[in-house]
Order: sequence, then structure tokens, then C-alpha cells
Amino acid sequence: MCHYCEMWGDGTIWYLNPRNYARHMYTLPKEAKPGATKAVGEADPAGYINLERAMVDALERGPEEYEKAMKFARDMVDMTQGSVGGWMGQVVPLRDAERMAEISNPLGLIACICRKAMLGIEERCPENMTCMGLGVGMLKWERWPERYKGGVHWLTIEETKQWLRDLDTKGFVHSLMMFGPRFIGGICNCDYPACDALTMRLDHGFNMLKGHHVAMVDYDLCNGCGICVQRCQFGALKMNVTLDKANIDQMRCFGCGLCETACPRKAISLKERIKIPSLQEVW
Amino acid sequence: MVDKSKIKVPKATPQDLTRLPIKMPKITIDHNKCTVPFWCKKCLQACPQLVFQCYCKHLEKLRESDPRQPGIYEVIAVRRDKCHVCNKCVEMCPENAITITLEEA
Ligand code: SF4
Ligand code: SF4
Ligand code: SF4
Ligand code: SF4
Repeated sequence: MCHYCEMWGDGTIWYLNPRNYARHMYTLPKEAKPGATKAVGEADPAGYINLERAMVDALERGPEEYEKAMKFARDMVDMTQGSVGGWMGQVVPLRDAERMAEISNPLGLIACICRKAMLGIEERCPENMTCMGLGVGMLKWERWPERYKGGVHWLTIEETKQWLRDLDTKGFVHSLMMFGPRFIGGICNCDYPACDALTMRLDHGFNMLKGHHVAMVDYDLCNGCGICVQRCQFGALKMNVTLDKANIDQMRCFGCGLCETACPRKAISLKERIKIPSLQEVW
Repeated sequence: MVDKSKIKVPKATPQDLTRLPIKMPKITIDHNKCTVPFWCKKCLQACPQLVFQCYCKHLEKLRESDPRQPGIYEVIAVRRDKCHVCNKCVEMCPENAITITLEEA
């Protein structure tokens, strides 16, 4: 089990546990500690950017400084419940993202803030509407017009699933985002290195967890077409040239399932991480 | 309530600490010259390594900012460790605001 499941799973995978989407979970920390939970629009992009800059600057100064910066970053996330810097989340495959859409309400599509910061893509640009907002936090959107310049497109469950499938076809990794200690507030659909959450994880090992699955290739079905290889954002997939089959480095695999959904011969399947002895503790 | 003692943070960090410190160029942006970065954003689009990041400095409730107004947005060089020193950003910048300096080997 990942540590989120241990704390908040109540016996299931934590993000499929409806309690973690409840309005109660969103407002609870705010009552206890004013300002603890922030709406999607309130989370300050300057916070994320400065945290990442501090990590990179520390790389230049040596291992002790780097570990210090890492500790500072983790404390920061702890203190602000993830609303400043390196948000908390986990990679989810398409099928789980679709199940999440069934649990949460309301559902809306908003602009991606990372691609705005990294590539200068405007919020109003339709291609940038890839961020799914989930739950009651979304109802606050009008208070933060700066974040929601592109507006919110409210979606039904079926529309959300269709959007998720389309984004999956394009090759975006799905990952969930938390706002506050256990409130699931969104599904991010993005790629490395435009996504700050994925980049912080891949470059600095910071906060985003790997998914609950690991991909496996069936050599009897794989014909070596190579379509899956270009889908992997995590450097886990490559061609085994000698055998002319796809090969997955399971330690690098994040379980995003993009290779699985792309394989025309259904040669890739997702296995549960906890059932693989060497990967049970690898998150 | 969250039991903090239960939280296990994934141990492995991808940065090999024995490799540190790593050398990287210093990239400075003159914010007196670069005043409307989100309106210009040439460096963001030119850099193949996504070194730069641009953000709205003051997030205010119930207010939408105008990226054409000077001083609202700011661009900074974040991922300097990935810079190739290809100088594309320096060439593209219409305001000559970017300077890249390398330390002597
Ligand atoms: S897409 Fe499927 S058939 Fe093609 S190389 Fe990958 S696993 Fe093999
Ligand atoms: S191997 Fe497949 S499931 Fe694993 S990270 Fe790569 S694309 Fe995702
Ligand atoms: S020199 Fe090249 S790689 Fe470095 S910041 Fe400028 S454009 Fe990016
Ligand atoms: S190209 Fe120059 S003026 Fe334009 S945003 Fe970048 S630093 Fe500012």
C-alpha cells in the first residue's frame, strides 16, 4: 500500500474512497486552521516556482545544501498542506481517472497553470484546457479571475470521461492533485517537462507518488511495432532491439498506462504494484 | 486526523548526491528591461530546455491582471541545470535583458 492508502484508504485504494472527495474534507482543515486549504485558484504559482528554483540553486552548492533544501521543501508542503510548492498527488491510469470522475461532483475543465508558466500558453487557448477540477473547491472559481481567465467548462460524467480518453490519446499523463490534507481536487493531464509536478518528481524525487500499477509486456502478443515507446514520459520503455520487442524498466515505470492504451495488439497489461514483491515499497 | 508518524516519504532521490555540486551557468534577467514578459514570452518559447518560468507576481482576489501592464508578471530562469548554453534565448530577447555567464573552468 502507498502511504496515502494506509492513512486514508479505509481498506480500498484511497482515491477510490468517496470520503476523500467529501465537502467535509475540504472545509475541515480550514475551520481548524484558517487558510490551511486553498482553492485551486488560490494556490500561488510563485510558491511552486521559487521552491523549484531553490532546489536547483542547491544543486550548485553541494549535497548538504541540497538535502537542506529538500527538507525545507518537505516542511513547507507539510505546513501549508500542499498549497505552496510541490503539491501532493499520484499518477493514475485512464481507467482509474474515469472511476474518479464517477465519484466526484461537480466536474469542470480549466486551463493548465504549468504550461502557462513554462511555455507562456495563454489560459484562453483551447488546447490548454486540460486540467480537470473536481469537487466543491471548484465552486470558488469566480473569486480568482486571474487563475481562471479561461473560465470553467462544466462537464457531465460522460463528457469528462470522453475528455479524459481524448487527452489520453494525445499522450498526456493523468495524475490527481490534492488541495488540503486529504481532499482530492483535480486530475491533471500533462507531460514532462511542462508539468511542474512531474518534473519535481522526476528531477528531485519530490512528492508526486507513482501509481498503483506497473506495466508488463506479453512477448507472445508484442510484434515490435514501437508505438508504445513514444508514449512513455518516464523513460521506462524502450525497444529490445535483439528480440524486436518492447521492454519495460519496472523500477522506472510510473504505471500511467499510456503504453497500455496505445498498444494496437493489447500486448501491454497493468499489474498491481503491491503484488510484485520487489515493487511493493517503490512509490 | 493525519497521523504524521505514519507518513513514509519515498526515499530514493533521482539526484545522485555524490555527483554534487554540479556546474551550471548563471542566467540573469534584467527586470527593468523585461517588463511585460507574459506579453513577450519569446524566451519561454525559444528555450528547448524549458529553463524559464513566468508567473503573475501578485495574485489578487476578485481581480484579473492585464499582462500588457508592466511589472505584473515576472520571468525567471529556474532550471539552469538543464541549460545547453545554446544562446537562443539571448538572441531572441528583443530587450537584451538576458545575460548568461559561465564560471571559468
Ligand atoms: S505497441 Fe504493443 S505491439 Fe507495439 S511494440 Fe509496444 S507492446 Fe509491442
Ligand atoms: S512503461 Fe507504460 S505505464 Fe510505465 S510509465 Fe511508461 S508509459 Fe507509463
Ligand atoms: S542558452 Fe539555450 S538552453 Fe540555455 S536558457 Fe537560453 S535557450 Fe535555454
Ligand atoms: S525574451 Fe526577453 S523581454 Fe521577452 S520575456 Fe524573455 S527576458 Fe523578457
